[in-house]
Formats: sequence, structure tokens, C-alpha cells
Amino acid sequence: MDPEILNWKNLWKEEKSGPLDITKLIADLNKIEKRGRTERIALLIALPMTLILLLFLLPVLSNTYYLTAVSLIGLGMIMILIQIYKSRFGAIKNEAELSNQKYIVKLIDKLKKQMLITSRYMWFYTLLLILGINIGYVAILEHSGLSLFSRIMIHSVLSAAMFAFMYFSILKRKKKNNQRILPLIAFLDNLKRS
Amino acid sequence: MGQNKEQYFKQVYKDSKDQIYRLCLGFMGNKPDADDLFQEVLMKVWNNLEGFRKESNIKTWIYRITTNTALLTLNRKTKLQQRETNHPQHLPHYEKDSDNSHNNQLEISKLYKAIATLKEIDRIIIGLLLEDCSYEEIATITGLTASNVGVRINRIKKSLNKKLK
Repeated sequence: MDPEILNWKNLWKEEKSGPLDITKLIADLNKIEKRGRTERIALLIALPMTLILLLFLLPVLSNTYYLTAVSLIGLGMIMILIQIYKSRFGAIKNEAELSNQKYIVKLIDKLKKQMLITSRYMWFYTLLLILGINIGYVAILEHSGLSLFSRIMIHSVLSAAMFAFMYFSILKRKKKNNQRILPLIAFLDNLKRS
Repeated sequence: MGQNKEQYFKQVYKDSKDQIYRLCLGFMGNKPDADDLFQEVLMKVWNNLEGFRKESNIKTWIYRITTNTALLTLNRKTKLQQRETNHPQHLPHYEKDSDNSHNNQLEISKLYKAIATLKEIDRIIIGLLLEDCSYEEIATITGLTASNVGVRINRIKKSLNKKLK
């Protein structure tokens, strides 16, 4: 072997890891694992529960307006939940078989999906939410005795307020994504090419 | 399964802790960041231990996890650059026993520091080489071809020589 490499190898191997409380580490890892499992189960329960709840509400909500409102908001929620589930980082199961390039490509894809939730799906959700709430308010305001103009004003203010709230929330989230995800994608792209 | 997993993890930790730590230190170039990365790698090993196929080589599997985790530590890289600007001396600290060992420790820290200034992928390659991995193993872990690994190692050697002079 190259004497230079051999010399570096000897120096390199002099370095040892410091003491670590492995029992405590395992206990902490168990806690994290349990929390992750609970979150996954909660997500798996939340989806069918939303659907079942909507089905149960069908006969209860005889009013078409309420029913449409709840359905639209529920649809928006399901859409976001599906996207979150699709973009989560799964466990690296066959790490030894998976090539680094494939791993990086997969990771970039997941990160892009995460960005898409904010840039596309959150806007769909906003639209469905505003539509749903407004349809619900049609029923509420129908028997209020208010003039048509007042009702239109309430709908407009409500829509504008909701839009503003969602607009700033999405903007904030986009900014966060740009700081966190974009450099990571650029870095991974660079690695993919190297 | 839980008890088995703990036992297996303890064994893996005992067998590979120094190798993982050295790769982390070579990649990060300073002990606090290497410690963070080391813990993150251990967490990933724990999370994926059940998915590991026993017929595969555990060493290659762990090195791959270390490599992927190290390559994704952009935030820490930024932290490292900030530290470098604030405190140019970020060499690992070593206890002074005697002149000889002190010189040796200086050489070790110089080597680790020089490795940490290489390109990210090159730090991994030289780290794996110094951990006795063959070109084929390095190629499997990094996703490069064996011939590319060879070319890169030659380049790394030249670059390290220059830095260590």
C-alpha cells in the first residue's frame, strides 16, 4: 500500500468516539419511535374518520347548504392530508441495495412535493374553504332578515378576511420553504451531477 | 422484537462507533458538529435497523447511512462556516501528555482539518478509504463507479499532500 495513505490511515484511526450513554440513547430513541408511530396512526385514523363523519352528516344535515359547505371543507382537508402523506420521508428500508443517486433523486422528488403543497394545494384548499364557508353562511343569513346588500357585504368581508389570512399564511410558509428546502434541492442537484 | 432490536443496536454500536465517529469528524472537521452528526447517524441506524437485511453487509449499510446523513447536513455546514469566520481555530482539542504525543495529536488534527476542507463527496471517499474500504465498496456506498473512485482518490491524495505540507 501507498506509504502516504498508510501513514494517514494510522493517524486517522487514532481518533476514537467519546463516551456515550447508550442506554439513555436507546430510551430516547424508543420515545421518538413511539411518538412517530402515534403520529402515523393518528394520520391513518384521521382520513377514514373524516370520510365516515361526512357520510354520517349526510342524513343529519338535511340542509343542502350546510352539507355542501362541510363536504367542500372536508374535501380540502383530505386533499392536504393526502399530499402530506405522499411527501413524508419514509424509512430507508433497503439502504444497502439502493444506489446513492436513486436515493438523492427520490429525496429531491419528496422535497419538491413538499413545496407543491404550499404553492399549489394550499391555494386549492383556500378556494374550497372560502366557497364552503360562504355556502354555509348563505343558510345562516337566509333567515336573518338582513337586506340583500348587507348579506353581500358580510359574504365579501368574510371572504376577504379569509383570503387575507390564508394569503399571509401561505406567504410565510413559502418563505420558510425557500429558506429551508430550496438550498437543499440545489445542493442535492449538485450532488446528483457530481 | 424490542429487546432483540436493543441488543442488536448495542452490538452494532459497539462494533462501529469509532468508524462512524471518524467519518463524522472527517466530514465536519470539528468535534461539536461531529458529535451532532454522530447522534443523527445513530438515530437513523436505529430507525432503519428492522429494515436491514441480515444477508447484506452491515458495515456497508452503516457507511451508506453515514454518507447520506453527512451529505444532508447543509445546516451544519452553514454553522461550520459561521464558526470558521468567528473562530478560525476550530481544531479538535487534545490533551497534552508529552511532546511526542502532542506532536502526534497535532498531526491527527491537521489531517482531520485538511480532510474537512475537501469537497463533500471527497471527504466521504477518503474517510471510507482510511476505514479500509475497497474501491468497489466505496463505489457501492457513494453510487460512483469504481474507476471514478480511483480517479478521485488520486486527486484527493494530491490535494491532501498540498494541504498537509
